[in-house]
Amino acid sequence: MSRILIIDDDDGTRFYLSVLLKKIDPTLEVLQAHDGEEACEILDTSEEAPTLIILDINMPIMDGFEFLKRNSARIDLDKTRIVIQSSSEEPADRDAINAIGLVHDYCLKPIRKDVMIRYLNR
Amino acid sequence: MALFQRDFHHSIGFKLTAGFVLVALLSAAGFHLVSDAVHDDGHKLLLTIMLGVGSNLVIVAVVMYLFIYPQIIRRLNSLNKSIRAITGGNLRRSINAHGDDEITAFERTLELFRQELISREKIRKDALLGQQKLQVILDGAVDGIVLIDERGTINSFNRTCERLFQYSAEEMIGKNVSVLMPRHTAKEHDGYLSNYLQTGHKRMIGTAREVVAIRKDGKTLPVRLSVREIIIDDKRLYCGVLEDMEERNEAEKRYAYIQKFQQLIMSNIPDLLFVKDSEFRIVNANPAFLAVYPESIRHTVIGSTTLESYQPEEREAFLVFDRKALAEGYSENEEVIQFPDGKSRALQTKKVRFYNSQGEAFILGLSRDITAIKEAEDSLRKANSELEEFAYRTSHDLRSPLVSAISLLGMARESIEDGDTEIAVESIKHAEASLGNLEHLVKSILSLTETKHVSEDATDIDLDRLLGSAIKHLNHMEGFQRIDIRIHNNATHVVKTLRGRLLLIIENLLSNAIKYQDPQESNPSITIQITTPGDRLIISIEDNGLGIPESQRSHLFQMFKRFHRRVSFGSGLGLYMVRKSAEILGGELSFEAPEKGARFVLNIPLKPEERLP
Repeated sequence: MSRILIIDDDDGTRFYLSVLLKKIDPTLEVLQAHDGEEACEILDTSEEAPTLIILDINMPIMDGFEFLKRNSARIDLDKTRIVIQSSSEEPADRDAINAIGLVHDYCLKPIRKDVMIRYLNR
Repeated sequence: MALFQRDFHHSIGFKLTAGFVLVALLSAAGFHLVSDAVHDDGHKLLLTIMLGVGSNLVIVAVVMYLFIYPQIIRRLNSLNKSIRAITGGNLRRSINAHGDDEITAFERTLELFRQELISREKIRKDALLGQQKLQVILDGAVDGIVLIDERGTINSFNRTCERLFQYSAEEMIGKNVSVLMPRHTAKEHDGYLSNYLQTGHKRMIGTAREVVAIRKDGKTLPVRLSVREIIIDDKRLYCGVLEDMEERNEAEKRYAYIQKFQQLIMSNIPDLLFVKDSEFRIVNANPAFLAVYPESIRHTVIGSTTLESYQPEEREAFLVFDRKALAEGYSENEEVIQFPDGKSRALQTKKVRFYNSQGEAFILGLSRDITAIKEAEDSLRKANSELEEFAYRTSHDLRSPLVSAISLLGMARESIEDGDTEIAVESIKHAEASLGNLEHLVKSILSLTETKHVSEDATDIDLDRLLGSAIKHLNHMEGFQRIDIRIHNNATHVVKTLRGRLLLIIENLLSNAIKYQDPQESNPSITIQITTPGDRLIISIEDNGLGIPESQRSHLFQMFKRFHRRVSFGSGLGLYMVRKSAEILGGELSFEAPEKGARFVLNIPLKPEERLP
């Protein structure tokens, strides 16, 4: 069973993504975090790392960039696929994000169904 | 007596006498031989006479050939040729004198005569050349030059004179110089000359004075005249040098005009203009440059480097571009300089090397005060980067809820098609919320743009009333009733500033304090402290709410930054707008972290500064 973690401060986006994922595969376990800090708490408390993390960058409390920095040393994330989804084509700090090295894909909001299936199957 | 002359034996007379004696002796000897051989007396005499005459003729012929021809005839011929050449003007044929006889004496005399002629010819040629040279010099002279004799007759009249007076030299030579003078002076001139000759009293000679001359067309010509006396072969000549005063006056006027014009530019140009010599001393400067220095030391600027009080290495640093201009002819630099009047200004300076008429190098410096331009440039750059940031943030933050709503509505449609109403309704609810957020955001941006352009005048502020109306505006907010607001107004001075702007700041800060109160706090409160130390107004607004996480504090006043979770939606523009407003009031807004909650401190001047818009 795959676990997916959605990190986004927008309630609507989280709702949309979780419904989309359930529609693709009802067996998926979908976790939600409002910001980086909540996401860190989830990672710390759960036994198994998620297979896919969908991460927003611009969030209050702890933004996506800070979240990546905080977790760059975690070994349990080495099998986790991290996808950045953002509202703009070119996130301002893309180079800095790449330097951290955890991120596999960038995707413009909203993630379409076919794209999501591709992320899940990889 | 000639018989006893020492070299008599060289003379032609001696030679001829000797020849004839020889002939007589030979004839006598011949006669004697013949008369001995013939015995018939009659035949004897005839024969003797014939023989004597015949032999004499032979002897004379021999003597003529051996002596008279080379010694006399040939030399006379040669002399004749030489005389003809000399009289024909050919002086190149030299005459050789041989021996010591009468012809030799004549030859020598003729040679001396020829030499004399040659040297005279040379003198004549030299004199001619000298005269030609003199004429060239006279004609080339800028001034008019006239030579007159002691009666006033013109001997020489150079080309400048021809131009000045419109007479040709040909017309003037031989005429009296009084032709060139006005009638009353002309009468007196002859008197001057004779007066001088008789008394030696100089009126004109050796001094220069301005006089009026008359041109050929009758017009007057102001000239500066100086006269010198020259004595050649006891003859007095006077050389007059005439300088055209009209030309000179014109040139002087032109020069004076140029100087005045230069002065006009120097004193009206707003730039700082200065001239430095090769020792970097200021030798000339315009009023704008001098105005930089306090009045007490202004008179010391010219002649000094103005760097005397600096350390050598500092002085060198100041002189880098002076040296460059001096070495390369040009330099240009921009620098911020602390002026003696205390102000610091940005100057753009260009320096150009030039040389004076003595070939000494100088630097002309032109400094433009670009402080205002620099400031405008800076604020423009800042405004531009803010605008860019704003555009980026706006497009990003506006798109986010929009995209969210679109995808949620798509999902709702699909769910309705699948018959899953529950999901459909939920999706629509979320879409609604997203669009609500979008609307709120657009409103905030609009109000931000509006506040940027509101113009108002500073007025005296009643702070208590201002706080009262701010609180009144906010009493509809969620959680307002829970909060205890305390006001400590310790202001001792009248505050004069932009009322609307100040209200906007206070309202925003209070609204944040209400919005981000701590729901767990049993006694949520806001404390407002107002003080007026010195010429400042300080308003501190402190709450005991959620505060700002330490990691986020550096982003506090940026656009579109939100710091709190699930607390009523914020656009992320409030603090950005408040800080901007504080800047417009000429002050600043700072954040301080108390033990719990947040404290914002507004520090603005009591009265508007000059630059307040």
